[in-house]
Amino acid sequence: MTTANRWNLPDLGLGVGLRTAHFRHIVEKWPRMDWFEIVSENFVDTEGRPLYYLDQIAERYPIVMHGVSLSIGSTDPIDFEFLGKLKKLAARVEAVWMGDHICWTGVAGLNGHDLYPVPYTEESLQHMIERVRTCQDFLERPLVLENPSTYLTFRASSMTEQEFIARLAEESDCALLLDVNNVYVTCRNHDLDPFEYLAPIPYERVVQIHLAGHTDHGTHCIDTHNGRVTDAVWDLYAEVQRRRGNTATLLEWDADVPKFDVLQREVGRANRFRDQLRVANA
Amino acid sequence: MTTSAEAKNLERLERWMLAVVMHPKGASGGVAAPGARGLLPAAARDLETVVTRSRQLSALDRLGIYAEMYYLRLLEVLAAEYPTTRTVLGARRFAQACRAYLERHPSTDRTLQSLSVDFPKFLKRRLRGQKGARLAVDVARIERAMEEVFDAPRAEPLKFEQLKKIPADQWGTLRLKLTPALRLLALNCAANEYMAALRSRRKARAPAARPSFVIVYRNRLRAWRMTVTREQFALLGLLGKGWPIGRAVYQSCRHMRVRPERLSTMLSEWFRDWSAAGLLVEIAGPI
Repeated sequence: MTTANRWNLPDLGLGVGLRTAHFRHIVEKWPRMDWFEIVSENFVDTEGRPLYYLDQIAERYPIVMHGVSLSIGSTDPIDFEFLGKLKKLAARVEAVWMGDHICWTGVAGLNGHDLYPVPYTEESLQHMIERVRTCQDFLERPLVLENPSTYLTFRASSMTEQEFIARLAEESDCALLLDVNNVYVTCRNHDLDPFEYLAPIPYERVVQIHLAGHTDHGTHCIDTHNGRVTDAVWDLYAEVQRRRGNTATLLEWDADVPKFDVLQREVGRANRFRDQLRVANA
Repeated sequence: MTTSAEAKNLERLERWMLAVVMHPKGASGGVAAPGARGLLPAAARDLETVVTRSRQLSALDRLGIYAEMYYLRLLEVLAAEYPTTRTVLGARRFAQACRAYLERHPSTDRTLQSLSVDFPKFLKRRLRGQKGARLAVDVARIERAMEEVFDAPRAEPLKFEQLKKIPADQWGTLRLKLTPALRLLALNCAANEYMAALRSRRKARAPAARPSFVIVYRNRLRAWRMTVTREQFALLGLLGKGWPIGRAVYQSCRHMRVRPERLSTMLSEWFRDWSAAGLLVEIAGPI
């Protein structure tokens, strides 16, 4: 079991994604929560209500920035203006870390606002390593990159997704956010064993874990973030905890968003696994 | 099954996939369309040379998941930004307009704030001559303005007391800066009143054609809309352009048939209300 990450980034405990529906509740009740994760794009081009609440929340809770449109796998040039906005926001909220997904979201100047998979080839890997290094140099901090949920694979792939991720992390020296719901969804969609998927992950680089709900359509699964975490995903979480040790864990719930106390209870279920680990370590 | 040579090129593969998932006729239309075919001819002949199948889904089904999500996600965004426009047009007509808009104006930004910036103009062209067009376009303009002021930069508002301290002899040279969270809309019907009626669940009839002037602004974190007079609209417009206060007042109110004392009272009330609404943010000297 790995106990520290490569950068000594802290185990923040249990957090939830900061969503508009809960802004007022949070600043009025200051509920018990170890930390919040924000979707960076929701705060970079606004000076209205979102930023007003975020400023207050950032004074009381650690904030982690998690983006959806860095498009690190795209063949378009890196958007330094956008990176500059992210860096400015990170300084403003004193983000503990910041990251995005191992994917691309657009090309040729267009944005599909989705997390598209790359072919897992040597060409894509070298391309992405170069871009991660450039972004990290600009941001002056490691990027924390997440495994995406994917619904297709390319014939051109010459390695598995998990091998690709492991090499990307090692060779670009980035950190990883392991989304165990995405592991489940991806493995369901590609007829893979999720526990085998977890084996080659370099756990000393994993600084954060995501939990979420998904929708099972029978023939495939979609990463919908619209409900409770399934038992199968909790099993994967337990396995990652066993391999990695206690790690900052975050619940994402973006559709049919419930009251805040439901989120608190759901993410609190992760304590079962963290506590077991503490007992085992005692 | 071997990979087609073109599909090994990352840029070509990404351009191909985006062309397919953004295609208005879905993944099957996208794969067959000239744009995608030109990038990866092999995919049009045999898709599985580019995308693999799973046990349960074909390569086309799997691409179709992304294609479906592209339109669903962005239609959701537009429906959230334009709820009253959707009511005016009806769900089906609104969805058709949105799809047509997204085909013509695909997103080029990393955030979604500017996705619908051209939607009101697009609606105006698309609906020309159709029933309900005037109201739908005016409502869309108000709803777009509400999105813009919601995200606009902050500025500390002036207090009315600060305005009252401006000596009358300096009105000719001083200027007032307006908050960036303000939009002035000259409309073709009473769309704001229509929206208010809908909101208060009163029976809302499509208003007749007549000029209507609306301001949309942010105050205390909320976006507001207010119908104003032609003169108020003109005055705010001139102040926004940087005209000195005195000249702006003269130009905008010169046709009002009121006694000077009454005009003075009215102006005082306007500036009081505008400062309470946070519209005025700075007293600036001559340029």
